[in-house]
Amino acid sequence: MTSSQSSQPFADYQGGLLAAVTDVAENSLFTFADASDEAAFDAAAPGLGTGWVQAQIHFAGSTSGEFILTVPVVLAQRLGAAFAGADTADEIGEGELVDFTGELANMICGAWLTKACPQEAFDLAPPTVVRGSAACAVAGAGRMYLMVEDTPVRLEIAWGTRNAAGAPMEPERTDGR
Amino acid sequence: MPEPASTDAGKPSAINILVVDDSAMMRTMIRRAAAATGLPIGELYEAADGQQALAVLKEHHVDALFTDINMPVMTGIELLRQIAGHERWQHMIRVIISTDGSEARKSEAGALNVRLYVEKPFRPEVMRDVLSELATVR
Amino acid sequence: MAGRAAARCIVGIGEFAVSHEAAQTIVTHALGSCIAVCIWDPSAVVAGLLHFLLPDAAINPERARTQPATFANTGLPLLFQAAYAMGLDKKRCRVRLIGGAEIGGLSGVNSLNVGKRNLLAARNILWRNGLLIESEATGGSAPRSVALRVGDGKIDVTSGRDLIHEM
Repeated sequence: MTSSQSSQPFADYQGGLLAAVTDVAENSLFTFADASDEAAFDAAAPGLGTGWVQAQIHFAGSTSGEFILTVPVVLAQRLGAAFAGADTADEIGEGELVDFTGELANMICGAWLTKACPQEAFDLAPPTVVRGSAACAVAGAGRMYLMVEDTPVRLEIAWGTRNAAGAPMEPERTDGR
Repeated sequence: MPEPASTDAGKPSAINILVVDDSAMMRTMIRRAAAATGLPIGELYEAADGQQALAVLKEHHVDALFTDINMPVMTGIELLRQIAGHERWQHMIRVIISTDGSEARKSEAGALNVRLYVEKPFRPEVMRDVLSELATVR
Repeated sequence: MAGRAAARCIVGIGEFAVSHEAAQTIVTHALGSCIAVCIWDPSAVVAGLLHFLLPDAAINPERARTQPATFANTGLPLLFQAAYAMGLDKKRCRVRLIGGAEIGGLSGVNSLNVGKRNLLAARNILWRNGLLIESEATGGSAPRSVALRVGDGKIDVTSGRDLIHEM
C-alpha cells in the first residue's frame, strides 16, 4: 500500500513543518528558525564535509512516511546544550549528540503531525540516527531548507509506507524533483 | 515496598517521580527543570521504556509517573494499561509528556486515568506548573 | 548605596541596579525591543533590574567592555553577582521579564526580530543557570516602562500613562 501526500491536511506540509520547527526552536532550544533555500544549503554543505548528523523517523497513521532531519554536527551540539541547560556545546558528547538529534526529529515530526491532523494519533517509530555527509536520505522526497542560528538545516518528507519486510517503499514524488 | 517518608505537619512532602522516555537528553531536561522548580522532590527515577518503568515501579515507591508515548519495547500507553486498576499504583499520579497532542491520544489517555497531558516541545517553566499542580492533589 | 537612598532608582538602557532598601523603587523606561530582567528575593528583600539592548556581546566587544550591561550574556552575570553580594539567594529568587516588543519604525530593526531574540537569549541564559521565569510581560508592539518595588517585589508595567500590567 502506498500513501499519498495529496490529503488536505498535508497540502501545505512545508508551512506546517516550518511552524513546527519554530515551535521547537523557540520553546525548547531558545533560538530562531527561518525559511531558507537549497542554494544556501548547497553553499554551506561542502564546508562541513562529513560533519553532519541525520535522523530518520517513520510515521504511521492515515498517512504514512518518513521524516528526515539533516543538521550540521556543530549546530546539533549547540542546540543540545541549550536544550539540556548545559554551559557549553563541549558538554555534548557523541552519545548525547545522537540521542538529541533523534529527539529533535521526534519533536519536530510530532509537532507537525499534531498540528496537521489534530484529531488523529500517529505512531512514530524510534529515530534512526547516522553521522556522515549531507546527502539526501530518500530519493524523490519533498525537501525544505531552513536556517537555525544562521546554520543550514534540511527536512525531507518521503510519503509512503514500509513493505512486509519492513523496508521503506519507494515514495511517490511530491515536488516534481 | 518502601513507604513515602513522613513529614512535619503542614510542610509539603517530597514527591518521588519516575520519568519514562527513550531519550536520555529529554530525561535530563526534565530532571533539570524539576530541580529548578525548588519544589520538594524526593527521588527522581528514570526509565527508557515501559518495561524498565514497570521494573522500577515494582521496586520503589513512586508518587508521580511522567511518561512519553512513543518508545521501543513498551509504549507509554501500554505501560499505563499494565498499571491500570492495580491497587498498589492507584495513588500514583499519571502525566503524559509527548509530541503527540492529538485529540485521539488525549482521549485514550483520559480513559487510562492520566491527570495531566504535556505536549512537547515545552518550556522548562511548564514543569513548575505540573509539579505545583501535583502538590495540590496529594 | 551611600547616604540616604533615593526613593526611585532610575536604570537606563544598558544599565542595571540592585537594592536592599525596602522603601525604594527601581525604574526603567523606553523598553522597546530591550528586555528588563527583574529579580527579587522576598526573604532578603533584595531586588535587581537589568535593562539590556541586545542578546550577544560578540557583535561589539568594545561596547561589551565599556558597557557590559548592554548585552544579555554579559549583563545578566553582573546583575546576579551584584544581587548575590547583597544577600539574594538563588533558590528564593523570583525572576520576571518585561519588554521584547517589535517596534516598527524607520530603522528597520524590526525585520531582525530583535525583541524576540532578546527574549530568547534571556530565557536561554536563565535556564542554563537553573533559573525558571515566574512571569513575563513581553512581545507586542508597544514600548513599556517598569517600576519594581524593592519592599514587596511588585512590578507596575506602564505604556505611556496607562498601567497595562501588574506583576
